[in-house]
Amino acid sequence: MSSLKEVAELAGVGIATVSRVINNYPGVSPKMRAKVQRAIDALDYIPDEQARNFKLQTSNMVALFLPYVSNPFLAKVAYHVENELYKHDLKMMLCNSEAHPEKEKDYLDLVSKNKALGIIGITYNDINDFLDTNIPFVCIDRFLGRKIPSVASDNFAGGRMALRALVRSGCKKIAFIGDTGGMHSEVKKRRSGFKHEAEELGITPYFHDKRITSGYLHNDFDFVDKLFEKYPDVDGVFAISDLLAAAVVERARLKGVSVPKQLKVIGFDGIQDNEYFSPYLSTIVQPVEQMAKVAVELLLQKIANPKMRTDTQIIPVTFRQGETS
Amino acid sequence: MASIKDVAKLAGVGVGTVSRVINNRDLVSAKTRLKVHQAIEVLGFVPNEVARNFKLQTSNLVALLVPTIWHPYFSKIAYFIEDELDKVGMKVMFCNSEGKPEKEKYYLGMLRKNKVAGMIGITYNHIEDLLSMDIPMVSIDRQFGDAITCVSADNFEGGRLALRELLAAGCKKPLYIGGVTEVGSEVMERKAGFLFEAEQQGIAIQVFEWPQIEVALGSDMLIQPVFDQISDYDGVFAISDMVAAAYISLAKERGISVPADVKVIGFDGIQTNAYFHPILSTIEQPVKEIVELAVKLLMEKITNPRLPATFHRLPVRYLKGETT
Repeated sequence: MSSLKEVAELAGVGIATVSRVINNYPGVSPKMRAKVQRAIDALDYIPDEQARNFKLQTSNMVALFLPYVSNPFLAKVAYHVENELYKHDLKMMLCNSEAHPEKEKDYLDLVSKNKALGIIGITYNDINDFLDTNIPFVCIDRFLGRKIPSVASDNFAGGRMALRALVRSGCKKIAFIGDTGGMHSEVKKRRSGFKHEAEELGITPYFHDKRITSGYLHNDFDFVDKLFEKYPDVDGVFAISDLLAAAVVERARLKGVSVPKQLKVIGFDGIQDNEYFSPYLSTIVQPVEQMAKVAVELLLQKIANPKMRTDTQIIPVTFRQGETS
Repeated sequence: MASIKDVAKLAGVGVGTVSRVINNRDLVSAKTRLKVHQAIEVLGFVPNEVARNFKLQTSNLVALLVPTIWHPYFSKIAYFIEDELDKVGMKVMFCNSEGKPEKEKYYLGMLRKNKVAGMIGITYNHIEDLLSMDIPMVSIDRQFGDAITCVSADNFEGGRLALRELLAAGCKKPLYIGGVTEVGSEVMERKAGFLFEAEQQGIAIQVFEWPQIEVALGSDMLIQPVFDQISDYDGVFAISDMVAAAYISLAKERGISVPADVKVIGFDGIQTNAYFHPILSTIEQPVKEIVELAVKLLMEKITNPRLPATFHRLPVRYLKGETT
């Protein structure tokens, strides 16, 4: 009986291409498909059912890297990515990688052994060194070069929107809070968009963005208290995330500062999907469902065409008025 | 479990023929094919070909079924499960099964064909027919008779505790708010414990219930009627934190002050920070312990499929927040 290898040789293509034709995957040109089919017919090749089953059962698996899934924003990402993958008959493996960067290597290894189809991920770890750029890997919120497809919400526009919203509601002493030191490119743009818009409007905002001082990592509440110490006249705050925005509101409340009357606060993410808990934040909402959809599409494209090059796909954000501005 | 040999014997054909039928190859007459299919059905035979050949490569996957990860209780479970499984070298395949029983069936199918080593599930769908003793599955919060090992918080004790705490906070007329699960779930024990303790203490209880459990995720529309239909209560025990939060938010709109007018206790313990208010008084589930035990039991079952199903309830505790 002829083998897959012989078919590939006769057709003058790689084994993977033959496999893609047999399994009806996208990304094979009609011409190529016909060539492979002719070779299959000529050699009377019958795909090995078991090998094929084995291949199918493992190659419909996509791993999702998240620092941790217990954060509400990240849980929302996991929810939508799973739903999108399901639509394409793909399964999701979950990898919480924050505490263990070496876990990510395990999954990359699975992909390189064809036991998983690809990876979608939010990762803050330094994985460049072991990231083979032909591996189907789609990054959310981080740009690792054009060989790694990526998707992010429009963080820059979000930063601009936040500044404008604070100015519109009458704030004069506006501050940015959020440690961008450990952050990767896309998230940092919240700060740069904010700064850019301030310059356009001739405003000089405060920047409170160093969480680590003299080797000490401040928790959210300490970090917020330092903001109020350093800039006692602040009347508007843009926080890099909703959780940090909520921490700002909480510390202001304890100091007897009334939000939004004396202090307006805008967050980023849009983690609240109900108004049961206060503060119900004014925030820049990330289009998570859309991001998940694009991430899955990019992954499928990258699988079909490993040589694909692309810039980050940027998805528009929206401002949502809550009770804090 | 029936083997390919049993099928061949019953159908009166050779093992090779059965294999050809299973693998959909030609060279088998329609009549023989039918005979083999009948035997397969009679014996409830599940082909095991893939597993036999590739067991080693695939057996480190565990499927996790939760209604939706986009809910703090379930995302907490998912987080701990991934963490625990990683410690024993297993990976998690993740499924939001919310309103999609067919998804659960699909994963159970994978389990039966040994494409995953085991399954941990929180499910509210009708899947009893698909379960049997020899399936390496651990259920959280829901009992499937004697078939499946189940781990759960001690919901009954939680209900009792909630009543005692409401009384301790000065309530005289407690109200229970919850939904009814379509399938038997441990979650219903919260109400049972609450009512039991009330009876013990000689206290009359009002009950407001919906015929579905979806309410546990919190829904204004479903909770609204409480205010039209029920009056004269000064304490609420809600089936979940989300219901407690939804109740409080609606009560506020009606000028009912919590905890001054009505004291409220939820169930779950979903709040992990002190940033958002109200910080609920609640019966906290020991999620980490539940998950640790579930993973341990699953690994035991995978190693020894003959282990009988067991049932475990883990102690809960009361967390005082701002609502009592």
